[in-house]
Amino acid sequence: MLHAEQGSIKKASTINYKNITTPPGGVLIWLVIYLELITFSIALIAFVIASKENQLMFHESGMQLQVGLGTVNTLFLLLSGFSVATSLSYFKIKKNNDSSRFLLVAILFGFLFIVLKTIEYIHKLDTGYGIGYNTFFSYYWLLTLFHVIHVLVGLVILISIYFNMQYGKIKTKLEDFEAGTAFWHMCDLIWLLLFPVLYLIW
Amino acid sequence: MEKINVFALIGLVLLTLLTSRVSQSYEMHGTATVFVLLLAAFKFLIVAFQFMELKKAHKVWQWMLLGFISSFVFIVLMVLC
Repeated sequence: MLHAEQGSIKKASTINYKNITTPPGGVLIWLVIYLELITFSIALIAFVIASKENQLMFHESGMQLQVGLGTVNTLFLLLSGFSVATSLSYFKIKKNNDSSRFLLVAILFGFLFIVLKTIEYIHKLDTGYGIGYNTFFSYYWLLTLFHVIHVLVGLVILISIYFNMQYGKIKTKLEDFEAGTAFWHMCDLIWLLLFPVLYLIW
Repeated sequence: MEKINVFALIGLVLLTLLTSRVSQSYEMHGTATVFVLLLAAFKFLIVAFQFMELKKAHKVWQWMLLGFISSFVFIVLMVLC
């Protein structure tokens, strides 16, 4: 069954991804992805450099973050990324019902990420660790909030693809679907950089 | 459903649980920090190459991402260690 589907995917995909001008999702989305990754990585490197000036404060602040919540949030994003990738595979072989179902699962995990992040933020604010508490928490709030904004934009894109597939009069194009999923995976990639540097290495 | 995506997901989940476990079980100095950051870079590459299908793209896109993540991990480790 799986082999048959994989064969169908190879046949259905007509875009030559090996061409430098046509990576999966298109050139523009990949330029956006690289720019976003570079922006976040510069901020993370600045954060790590700042930690050298006051190692004790960064260590103590880092211990205030809940690794458990961060881990569950990582799992939510990974499950969402897997669901989006599976949804795209089904879309390529024109199994739109299966594709929509997995897209819905991806959206659900995205919402769960936002809900858990909100719980974490409320807890941080209740315990007094706001954006101005110290340098560590200034970076924490700026980096994670900037990431959450990307997740929200990604969710809007996924929801619009879902509704277009379900109720839209214009047929969803493969290139648009791929670009939307690439943006969603980018949120995953950014989180995979943020999570160890903010939560784990202190 | 692509079988390889399922394996990738299982691998990513296990690596995530492992990194969390390591960070909570050991003092985060030297080896443990290197281990956590290298695993994070590995997860990053799995998502990019498998879920984002970068494995199918032109070598230039692949090398750019490899260059980015290696530089990032190298700089962070240079500053920290």
